[in-house]
Amino acid sequence: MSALLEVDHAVKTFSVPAGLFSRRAVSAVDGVSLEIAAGENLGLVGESGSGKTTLARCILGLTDVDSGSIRFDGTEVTGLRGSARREFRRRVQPVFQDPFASLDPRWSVGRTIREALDSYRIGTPADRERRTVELLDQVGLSPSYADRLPSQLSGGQRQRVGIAAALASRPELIVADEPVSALDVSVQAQVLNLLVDLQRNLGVAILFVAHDLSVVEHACQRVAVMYLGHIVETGTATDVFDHPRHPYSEALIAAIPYPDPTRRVTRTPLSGEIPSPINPPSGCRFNPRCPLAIDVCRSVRPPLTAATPTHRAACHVTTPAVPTPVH
Amino acid sequence: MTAPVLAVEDLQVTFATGGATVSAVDRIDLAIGRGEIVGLVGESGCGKSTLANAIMGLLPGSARISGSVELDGRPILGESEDQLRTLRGDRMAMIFQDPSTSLDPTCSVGLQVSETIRAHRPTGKGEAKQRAIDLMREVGIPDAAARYDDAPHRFSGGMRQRIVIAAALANDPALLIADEPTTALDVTIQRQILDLITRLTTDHDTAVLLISHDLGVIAQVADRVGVMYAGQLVERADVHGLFAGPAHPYTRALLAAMPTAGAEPGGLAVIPGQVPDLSGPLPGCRFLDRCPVSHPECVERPPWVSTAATSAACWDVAAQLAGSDADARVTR
Amino acid sequence: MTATTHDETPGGQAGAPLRPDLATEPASRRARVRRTALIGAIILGVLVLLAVLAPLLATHDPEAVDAQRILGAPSASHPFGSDVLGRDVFSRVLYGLRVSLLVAVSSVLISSAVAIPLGAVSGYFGGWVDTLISRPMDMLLVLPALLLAVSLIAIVGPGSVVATLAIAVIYLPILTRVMRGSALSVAGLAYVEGAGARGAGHAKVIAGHVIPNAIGPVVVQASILAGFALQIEAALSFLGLGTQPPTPSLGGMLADGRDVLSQAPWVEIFPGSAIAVAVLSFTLIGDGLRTRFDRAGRAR
Repeated sequence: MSALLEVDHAVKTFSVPAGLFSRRAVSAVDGVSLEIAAGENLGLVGESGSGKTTLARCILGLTDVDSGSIRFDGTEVTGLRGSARREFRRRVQPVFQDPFASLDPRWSVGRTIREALDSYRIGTPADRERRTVELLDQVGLSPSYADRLPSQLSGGQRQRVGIAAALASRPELIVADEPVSALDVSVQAQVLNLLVDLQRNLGVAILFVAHDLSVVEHACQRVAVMYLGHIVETGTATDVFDHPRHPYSEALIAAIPYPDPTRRVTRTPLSGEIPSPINPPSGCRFNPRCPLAIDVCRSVRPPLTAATPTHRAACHVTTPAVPTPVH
Repeated sequence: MTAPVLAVEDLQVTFATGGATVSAVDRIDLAIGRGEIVGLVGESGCGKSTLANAIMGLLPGSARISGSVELDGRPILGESEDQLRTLRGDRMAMIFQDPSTSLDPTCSVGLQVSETIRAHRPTGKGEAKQRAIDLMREVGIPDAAARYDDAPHRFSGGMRQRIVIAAALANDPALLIADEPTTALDVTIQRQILDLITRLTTDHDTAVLLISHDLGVIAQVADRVGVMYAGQLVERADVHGLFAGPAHPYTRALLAAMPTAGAEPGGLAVIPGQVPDLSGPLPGCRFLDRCPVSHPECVERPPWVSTAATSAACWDVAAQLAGSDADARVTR
Repeated sequence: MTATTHDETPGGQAGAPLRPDLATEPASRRARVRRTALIGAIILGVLVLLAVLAPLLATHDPEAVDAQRILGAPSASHPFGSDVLGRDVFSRVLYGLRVSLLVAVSSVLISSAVAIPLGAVSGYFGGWVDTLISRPMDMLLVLPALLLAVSLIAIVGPGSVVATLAIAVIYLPILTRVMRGSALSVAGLAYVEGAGARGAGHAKVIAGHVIPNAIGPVVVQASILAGFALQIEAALSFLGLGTQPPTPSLGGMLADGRDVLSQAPWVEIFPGSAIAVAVLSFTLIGDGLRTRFDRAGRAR
C-alpha cells in the first residue's frame, strides 16, 4: 500500500551570514524519511532546532529540499511548477500557528474562505457561496460570520476560519504547524476537538506539527520525534508515549509537566542545551547529552530500526540495527 | 503562617481607557510566606499579570489601584516611584516571560547582573563582578567567568532566562514574582528552569509568586495555588487539594479541558461562551454566564467556602455544603 | 516557540483592550493628534475649495493689468492689494493656488502610481528582482532633488506639466523605498503564504493582499511629500522654470514681489502665506495619518 505522503531522505540546509563576509551552513533537516497514510493523523514533535517547521514547509512545497524526495500520491513535489504545482497545492493545505497573522485583516471571513475556490475556479459563484456557508458550519461558526472582519473575532474563532479556508479545496492532507499553541487551554480544547472530528468525518490526513507533547498524545494516532534535523523515533502514540525507545523521547516525555502534583519529577530528565544546528554533533546528534552513549554513537549515525512492526527508533543502544550475536 | 512576606488585601485595579472603565482585578486577597511557592493560574485576560504588576508598582498612570499590599509588613501600595525603585531588585524582584526583551541587548550579561548588585548595595566593581560570576555559576551558566562579557544574543533562550534569574536573585529579595517564566522555552529547558527556580528559592527561603496559564507547571512546582478568572480569584488551595478535589466549576472545567485529562480524542470538555467584557456591567460571580450550575444568588459576589481540600468563591459550593440541594438549579 | 496566549474576547477593537496594564499611550495624546489631523484636513479642504471656485471667487481677471492701481494697498475692492503691474493679488493668489495644488497633488499621485507596484514587487519577490528595481532607485536618490528638476527642465523646457513630471521623478525612489519596506514585512506574514497555498498566483497575492495591507506608510509619506512638492513647484516658478507667466503662480509672485518688499509687502506676504498654509495642512494630515496607521497596524 503506497502512502499518501512519502518523504525519503530529505535534506535541507540554509545558509546564514556569520561575521562580515562569510556564511555558515545550518543543517535544518538532515536525511529525514517518514510516511503518512491517507486519512491518518501524524504528530511531528520536537523542540527548537529540530527542523520540524522546515520539514513541514518542504512538504507544503513552500521551500524546495536540497536532496532527497518528497512524493505526494506518487508524484515528486520538489521542482513542481505551473499547473502541476497548483494542483498539488489544492490537495495539500496549511493551517498556521498565529491566529492573528494567518488571516488578511482587510478581507472578510467569507472572502478568505472562498479564496481557494476563487483561485482554482471551483464551481459557480453561487456554488462558492454555498460552500462557504457549509465550511463555516463544519468548523462550528454560523453563516453570519462570513461578513465579519478578523478583528471582530477571537483567537479561537480566527483559527477555525483558518481551518475552514484550508478545507475549501477539499485537500487530502493538511499540514498544521502548531495550530493550537497560541490558544488558551479552553479554546485549545475546542479547536483540537474540531480537528479530530474533521479528520474522522472527512478522511483528511493531518500532519500535526507541535512542541506540546500532551496535545499530540491526545490527538494523534502516530507520532514522529525529531531532534536536530533527524527523526529519532516513530510509532503509534501508545508506542512512543508508553514505551519510548529513544533516550531523547524518554527525556522529552518525562519533562512534560503533568497537572498532577503527586507525579512530580524529582530529577531533571535532560541537562545541557540543544546544540546549534550550525555545528551539530557527529554520529548520533543526541550523543553529547545522552546517558546511554557509547563509542559508536559518536561516529555512526544510527538508522531508524524497527523494534515492532509499528515502532521504530534510531538508537545504537536500545534498538541496534544489527541484532547482537547470541553467546 | 508566621508573618507573611507578601500580604495583599482587597486589591482592586481598574483602568480608564478610551471612555470605558475596565475592571481588571476585582478585590483579591493573597498571602505568601517565607520559602513558599504560590502558583497563580488563569487564562489570558484573567488579570494575573495585572496583579503582579500592581504589586511591583509597574502599572501605568491610567490605573486606579485600591486595597493594600504589604511587603514584610511594610505597606507599599501608596509609595512613590523613588521608594519603589529602591525596593525593586532588592527586596522584591520580577522575572518575565521573554528573556530576549528582559536583557539589554547592547550590554554584557555579567554587567547587567553586577549593576543590579551595585544599584542597591555599596559594592566595589571588582567585588560586584565576582559576586555576579558566582551567581551565574549558581544558575548553571557554564564557563561563567569567561562568559561574563558576552552579550545576550550569544546565549540561548534558556541560558538568558537563567541570567535573568541570577540578576533577580542577586540581592536576595524576600519576594520573587515569576510571570510565565518558562512559557517561551522548550519543554526540556522549561523543566530545567523550573527546577532551578525551585532549588534557589528553597535555598534562599524566598517567597515566590509563580504565574502561569499552564496547570501542569503549577502542579509540578507550587505549594499552594490560586485560580483566577476574569479578574477574580475563584479558588485557592494547597496544591494537592486543588488537583485532587477542585471545587469551583471553572477550575473543574479547566482541568477537564486539558489534553492530559484522558478524554477520548475529539472529546475534550469545552467551556461554552467567552470571557466577559471587563468594561461592561458584570455579575457578582463573573463566571456566571458560562457556568454549568447557576443560582439566582450568583449575581451577587459569592462567599468563600472551604471543603476539606480547597476553598472556593462559589454559591453552588456553598449550597452543596449547606446541604440544601433543593436550591441547586442546573440551568446549563 | 510558543508566544503569548490569546484571549477569547474579540480582538481589542470592539471590546476593552486585552492588556490594559501594558498600554503606554494615553488616550488623550491620540485624541490630540487626531484633532490636528482633522484641522489639517479642514484647512486643505478650504484651500481646495478656494482653488476650485477661483473663477467664481476671483474679483478680477488675474492677468488684467491696471496702470492706475500699481502697488495699491489692500482695500475693499482689492482685499490683498495689487502688484507691480496693478494686477489684483487676491485673484492671482486664488489662481496660483490652483496651479500649486494641482501640481503638488498630481505629481505625488503619478509618483505613487508607479512607486506602489514597483515597491510591492520589489519587497514581495526580493532577490534579483529587488536588486533590479532598487539599484536604479538608489541612484536616483543620490541626485539632489532641485538640481534634478532643473536639469530635466533644461532639457525639455519649462512649464507646469514638466514641473509635475520632474517632481514625480524626484519622489519616485522615496515612495518606492517606503512601499518596498512595508511590502517586505507584509509579505512575510502567514496570510500571504496562505494565499499562495490557496492557489492565488503572484499577481493576485500582490494586488489582493500585499498592496492593500502595505500601502499605509506610503499614504503617509505621500501626504507629507505633497507639501514638499508644493514648495518645489513654488521654487521652480520662482526661478522662472515652472509655471510660465502670464499664468499666475505663487512662486512667480514671490519673485515679482521681492523687489518691492519694503514698499508693498502685501505683494510678497499673501502668496508666501498661502504656500505656508498649504504646506502646513499637508503636514498635519500626514502626521495624523501616520498615527492612525501605526495604531491600527497591519496584521491586526
